[in-house]
Amino acid sequence: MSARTWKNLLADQMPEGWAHEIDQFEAQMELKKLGKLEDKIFAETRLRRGAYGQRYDNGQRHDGVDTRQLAFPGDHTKGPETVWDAPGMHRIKIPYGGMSNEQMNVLADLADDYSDGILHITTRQDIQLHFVHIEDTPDLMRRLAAVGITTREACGNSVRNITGCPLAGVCRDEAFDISPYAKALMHFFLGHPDVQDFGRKFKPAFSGCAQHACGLTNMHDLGLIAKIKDVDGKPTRGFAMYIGGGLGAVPHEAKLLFDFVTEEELLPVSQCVARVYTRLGEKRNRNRARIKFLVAKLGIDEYRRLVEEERKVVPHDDRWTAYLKELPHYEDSPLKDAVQLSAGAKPDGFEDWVRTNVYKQRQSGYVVVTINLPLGDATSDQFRKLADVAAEYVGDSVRTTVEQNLVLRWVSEADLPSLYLRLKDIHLATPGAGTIVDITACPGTDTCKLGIAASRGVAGELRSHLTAKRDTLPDSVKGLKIKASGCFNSCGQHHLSDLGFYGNSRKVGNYAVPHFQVVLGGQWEENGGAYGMMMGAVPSKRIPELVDSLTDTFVQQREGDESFRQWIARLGKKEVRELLKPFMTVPSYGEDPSFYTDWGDAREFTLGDMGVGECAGEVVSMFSMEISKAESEAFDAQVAFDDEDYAGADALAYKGMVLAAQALVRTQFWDISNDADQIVDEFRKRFFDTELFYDRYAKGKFAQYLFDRHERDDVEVERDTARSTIEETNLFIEATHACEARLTASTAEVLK
Amino acid sequence: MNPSRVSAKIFVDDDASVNEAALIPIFHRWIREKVVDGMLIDVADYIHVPHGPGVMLIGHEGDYALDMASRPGMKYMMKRDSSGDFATDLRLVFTRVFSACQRLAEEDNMQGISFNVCNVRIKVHDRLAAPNSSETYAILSELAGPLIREIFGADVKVLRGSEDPRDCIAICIEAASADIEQISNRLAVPATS
Repeated sequence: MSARTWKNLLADQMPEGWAHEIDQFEAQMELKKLGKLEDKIFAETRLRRGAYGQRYDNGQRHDGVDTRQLAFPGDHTKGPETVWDAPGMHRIKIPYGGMSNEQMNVLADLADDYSDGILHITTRQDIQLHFVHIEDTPDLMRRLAAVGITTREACGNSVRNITGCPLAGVCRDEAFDISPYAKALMHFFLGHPDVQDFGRKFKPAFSGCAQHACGLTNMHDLGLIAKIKDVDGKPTRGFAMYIGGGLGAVPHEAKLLFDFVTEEELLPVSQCVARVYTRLGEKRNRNRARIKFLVAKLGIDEYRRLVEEERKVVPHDDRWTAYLKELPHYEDSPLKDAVQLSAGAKPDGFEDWVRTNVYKQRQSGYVVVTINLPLGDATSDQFRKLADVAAEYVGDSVRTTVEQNLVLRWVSEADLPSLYLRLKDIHLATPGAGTIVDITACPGTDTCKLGIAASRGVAGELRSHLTAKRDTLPDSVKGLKIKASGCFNSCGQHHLSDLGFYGNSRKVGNYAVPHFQVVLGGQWEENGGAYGMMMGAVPSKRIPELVDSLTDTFVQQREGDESFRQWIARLGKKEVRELLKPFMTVPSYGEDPSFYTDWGDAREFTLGDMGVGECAGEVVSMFSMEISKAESEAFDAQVAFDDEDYAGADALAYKGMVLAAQALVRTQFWDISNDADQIVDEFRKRFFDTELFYDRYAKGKFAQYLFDRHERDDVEVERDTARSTIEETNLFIEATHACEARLTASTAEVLK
Repeated sequence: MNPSRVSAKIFVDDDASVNEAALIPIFHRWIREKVVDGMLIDVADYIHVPHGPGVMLIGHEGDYALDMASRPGMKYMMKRDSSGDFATDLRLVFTRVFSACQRLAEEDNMQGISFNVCNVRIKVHDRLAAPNSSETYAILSELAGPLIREIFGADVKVLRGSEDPRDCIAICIEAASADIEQISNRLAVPATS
């Protein structure tokens, strides 16, 4: 009888490929512990499985008095300067934010079993669990895989979560529902060889319309806006395709690549965008490696020409259009009949909640309810109970949003009062969704290695401060957006809000003082249509009074229906800075030491806890990533051999040899398939016949191991045979490493 | 049965006495001065989450928290380095949570917070090893029973918590009378048999 493990228990429920990838990752963890994988390679490997570093994982922390070593028990590492035993963050991809009730229940269980009981919704519709131990991650991934969720490529230099408008399919203004297209692109790109060798991450987003904010396509590497165009007298679905948008320290607005890409061309053209980025994007300087820099360097016209050229030569893939057959069957239908809300008494607080948290769908009698989560956090218990509420009222129709909230779609209007009470019972009926009190913040110094100031601290303080006076705020202020990031990297999307803040530090006397750079006048609508202007740095502790002052002045000076953004533009930077000046001063330490600590953190402020961020992933060659998978198969072969599964060991070892050959072939032939016959043929032609693979002494001996095993007919594998295959595989992998090193060295020599 | 994560929570006497914000500097100082046992890493502030984990003191082997779920209470959750024996793990969990209660009650800024040590909830956060079922409850109560009686007295009442199979299995302890000093003394002396 097999042991009771998640791996055994869920074996039949996980997609086979996903299960194998997780086993492979587990083997790579073992190899790392044995010292057989380099730090950089393992770091990129775990990042591509969603396992991210967290603050203090370099093993040190400032305790308010001094920087002290954290006495983690082991001496293993899981990346450069990253302690194995230090807790990390696990990012879980939720494509276009869509979750089923079953998935919500599993997510809640994982938060209980491996994290701190909190599920954190990110500004890209992911869910993050914090304080997760690396040893727990394979089972965490298995439990997700069993309900159709993958964490693959949630971090690292690949295609991240594909975001989409949470109102897709029910929005009153959209061209059509983008959900099935986002899903198709997600599955197509997941693990695709063309997205494995980027210099940096690549974030796609879908929007159903151009005018609202929901998709934020303007700030994405690849932005797709649904459009219907008349083609030969027939209304045809397609997308306006934008590329090269991005926030970060140097924000870029996306450029229009193609005005209309048909649904048949969506996947291949996106693939060609990725291929051009892979081929020409910066790899060494990570600060210039996002696609936005390549677009800026080449110009959008040249990028377009390159994509068009690529489209002519990219090998055909049946998956480009296969998903279209499923489109007519895509359904997101209501659980209950549409019934209008009746007149009569309503529960306390109901009207206020309806005003801000309820959106009328285009389908008459149905509404979308937004759950305003504080700082994007929900407890596992709330998630589980919300899944129950969803099952009762809407079915599988919950989505995460980029404002770190959740939405329930397809709510029958008549159900609103009882739904409100159900949500109130679980503390999820807070009004003010999408208003000034609904503040977005990245993790900042709470858990992020790059955080400079406490974005969650200041956001939490502003949320309490503004909620206390929400009823008295004028409507022109209630509708404003506030967003905060812990540093200039913009995970809190501060560029897109009316009032944005990002953390920095200023020296006052001998002390560091937490500050926030104030960014004003960004545009949330039109998919994040324009970015705010930096106005100056204000001490963290003065931010609430600054917000009061700016909003009061806006109300006093506002002309007609002028928006906050228009008001800031009318005033100009010089005048706005004058408004900030009274708040830029810092009292001496003796006068008010509270300025020298951050919100929600009693320790004296320091930059000493910052570490090396992992947003950029590690710059690791495609060969290194692929050969590590071959090594993992060889490791598993040894494990199977030790378990006396000789046939299994032989098969795994052979697979390792083929993967190693494939890794080498791909350095010359990018589009090599996964077919073993083709891999071996190409390897023979390119590396054996040319003698590139030849070792000075052994000549082509190690390649012969691959050819012999590949040609061997099925035989009953005995112990000795399996052992030989494993040994030959290890030698072949070593020879592959050596060959790649020789070729890289000779290329470098030529380039000198 | 060898569950990997076990917690114990001791409820406060008066819910209204809890000042969560005051805990943040206290927990930071506890890290600095190693006031409680275990390898302590950081403070996590979840005050903004209603009925959430409150303010947590994150550690390597386990986390302390003034947990606000359902009712406020001091909680310690052992999350790593199980001894392989449930009763031994539970003794360690009890030792740490009662010690944390005593330390917190001594803090000037906690406005005289006190704990109802007659009312303790044990939770096993391991859905693989300890699914929420009658069988699991029977096994766990048998394994934990001697320790619970040793610490809380022979007349202690032991009840099963939520029976929803999706919830972690929980054991509720209701002692007729108990005193934190007495409990700590009993925990300091391991059982002889």
